[in-house]
Amino acid sequence: MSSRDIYQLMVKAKEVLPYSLGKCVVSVSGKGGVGKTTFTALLLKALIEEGMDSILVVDADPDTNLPDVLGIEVKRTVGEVVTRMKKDIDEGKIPPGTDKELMLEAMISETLIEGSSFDMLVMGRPEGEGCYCFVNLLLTRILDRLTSNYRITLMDMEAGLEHVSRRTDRDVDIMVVVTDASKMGLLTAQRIRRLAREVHVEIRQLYVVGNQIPPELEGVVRKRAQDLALKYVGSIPFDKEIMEYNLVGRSLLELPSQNPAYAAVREIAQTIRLV
Amino acid sequence: MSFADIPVDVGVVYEGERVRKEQMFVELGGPDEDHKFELLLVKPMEEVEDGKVEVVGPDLKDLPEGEHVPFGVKVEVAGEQLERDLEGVFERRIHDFFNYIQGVMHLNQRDTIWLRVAKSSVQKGLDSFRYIGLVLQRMFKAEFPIIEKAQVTFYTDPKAVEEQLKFAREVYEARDARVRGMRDEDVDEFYGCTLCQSFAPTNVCIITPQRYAACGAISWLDARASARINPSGPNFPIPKGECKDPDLGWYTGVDEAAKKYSMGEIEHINLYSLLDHPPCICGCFEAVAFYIPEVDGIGIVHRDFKGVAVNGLPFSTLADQTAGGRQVPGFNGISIEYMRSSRFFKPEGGWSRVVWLPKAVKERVKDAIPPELYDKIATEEDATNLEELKEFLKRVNHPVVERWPKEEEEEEVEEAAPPEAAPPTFAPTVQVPMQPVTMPAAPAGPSFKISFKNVRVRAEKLVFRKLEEEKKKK
Repeated sequence: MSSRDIYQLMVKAKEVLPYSLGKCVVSVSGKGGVGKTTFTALLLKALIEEGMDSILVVDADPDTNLPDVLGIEVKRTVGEVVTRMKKDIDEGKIPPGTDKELMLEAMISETLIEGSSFDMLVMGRPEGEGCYCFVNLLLTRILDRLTSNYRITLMDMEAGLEHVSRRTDRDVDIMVVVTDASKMGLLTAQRIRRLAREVHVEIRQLYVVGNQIPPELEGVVRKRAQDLALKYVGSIPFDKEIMEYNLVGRSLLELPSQNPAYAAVREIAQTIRLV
Repeated sequence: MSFADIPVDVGVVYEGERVRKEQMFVELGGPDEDHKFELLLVKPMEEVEDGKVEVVGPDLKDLPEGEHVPFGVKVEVAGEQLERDLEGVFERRIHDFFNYIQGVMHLNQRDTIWLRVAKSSVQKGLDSFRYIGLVLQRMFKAEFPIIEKAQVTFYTDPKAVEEQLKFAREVYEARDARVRGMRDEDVDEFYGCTLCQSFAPTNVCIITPQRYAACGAISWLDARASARINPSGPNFPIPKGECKDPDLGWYTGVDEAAKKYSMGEIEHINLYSLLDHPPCICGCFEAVAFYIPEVDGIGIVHRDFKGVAVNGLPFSTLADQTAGGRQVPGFNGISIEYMRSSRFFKPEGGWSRVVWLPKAVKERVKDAIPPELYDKIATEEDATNLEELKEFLKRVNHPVVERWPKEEEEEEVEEAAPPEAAPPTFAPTVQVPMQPVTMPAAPAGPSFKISFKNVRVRAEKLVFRKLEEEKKKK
């Protein structure tokens, strides 16, 4: 068997085996308010219930509330740490003989919320003016090192690519764009695909998931997605139970397995070969 | 070098390996411990016993599982050619060498270290610090052949850690004092930084021990560390070359780098001058220094200053004068830290030429300002325009007053007009790296230098410059 054959076999294997057997970066995106945070939480639940215990969850959308939805308390965000580091540098507070990258790495490690099956990093956003070039360079390397430790990195992102393009290994294995029954929702998916090309981020698979789409409109959304050459992989039904959990601040990870929205997400996870 | 006697693997492949909370056997130091340290000392030959590993306090296997404990590690090395100046460089490697050990995570440095040892590694037999000590010792001797002997002491006894920590902090402080006193003469290489090339594609920031990067974030040591981690990254060594003038900061190596990165646009830089070939700057500087011809002095305004500077211009306008990798005599983007350098605008007279800066900056760099000058430098509270500034400088008898022409006092008071804000000529467009092409001289005509600018597929603009004219300018 030549090395070329082996390579082709490997490519084939990658096409049929679940991603979770290797290392995998999954991004969830979409325009504001379409329910991507809910989807991320339910996808996380599906992964955990499959026995996956090496997951890094990255909350990369400063405007969302993934920690709340998961019932997790955030003490400090990466953005806050970066701001503090920048301030300490500005004020000359860092001893000149020390290494700033080591320092920032430890500070970021401190923000990491550690659990049994997943750890969670909350990005937040840095504040204040001035030049963040150097701190961002350090951040890139630190995040690279950190994510390489997990089998699955699950990112809840704003509808841009800032946090994806920040990593040196910028490629995303799976990008799921959540949409509602609006034209804008689907256009967001198209925009992300175009943006990825512009900033040289490879998205290996881009899928669209519908959220709370009235059953009678699902066909229209599917058709529309198809027209835009987007792979529509499933819909999550409207769910009163999730609303109740959110209202009382209960973690979506505690939802019963038979919850219909969760069941839909679990099926989507299988469709996209994540589990 | 063999690690056959170590129960777990040792190698670069384990660098960056994280021991997650669930997997950890014990946490050494870390954010929840007040007392922790690592220290490397260069000792006389007779005081180091090669191969010795000592543990003061309970050994690894006897530490409480799942808990965090105070922790310290001291590495003592000896060698005929070793100097104490190397301690800091060696000590940074402790981080790497710990991390090479499978199932050992090491973060941070000095008195902030944070280690974890994985359960799986302890189960494999890594149950004693002795193994870790042996790894450190062998790694140090292998990486630095001038280290002839190495011994390692681990501290887990809370009292011993606390005691040693006190001593370690004294060593750190003495070391920092030495770093602060480091001069350009003490090193062979400066560092270049092109981190901001997305904003200023033809800029290179030159970082020396006495000149921080203009963004204020990167010291010479930082740049060196960054260049070592990623040799093809944005930080790289710049050989000093010949030093033509130490006060101006004129080095042939720096000129070559400037030429290369500016595509031949900038041919010469004086690192420490504001008026004579000042360094080119990206756009990330913390403050702008600007020459004020009306008083023959230097003003400084920083990014956070909300008002207008004494010459009537806000930071943003002044920044536009100098940003984008251009060399603009009389304007220079600088870091706050640079104001603490003893070479700060030395050719112009340094602090004795500074006449105005915002109060917030003045207070921040108070220690760097000669005490006899401190009250003579105006802030926004003393002067908000050139008129008031002149009055102030005269009243306090600032050193620049002596530079003023004697008839000044009889002269009519000039309108305090701000220097004309020339529209910024810098256009932040993508430039394709390209060497300037010199055309052969036409018979009997002048020779031309052609620079291609904003080149994508076709050249949008061709600049023909008579070389003769340029020579005349010089």
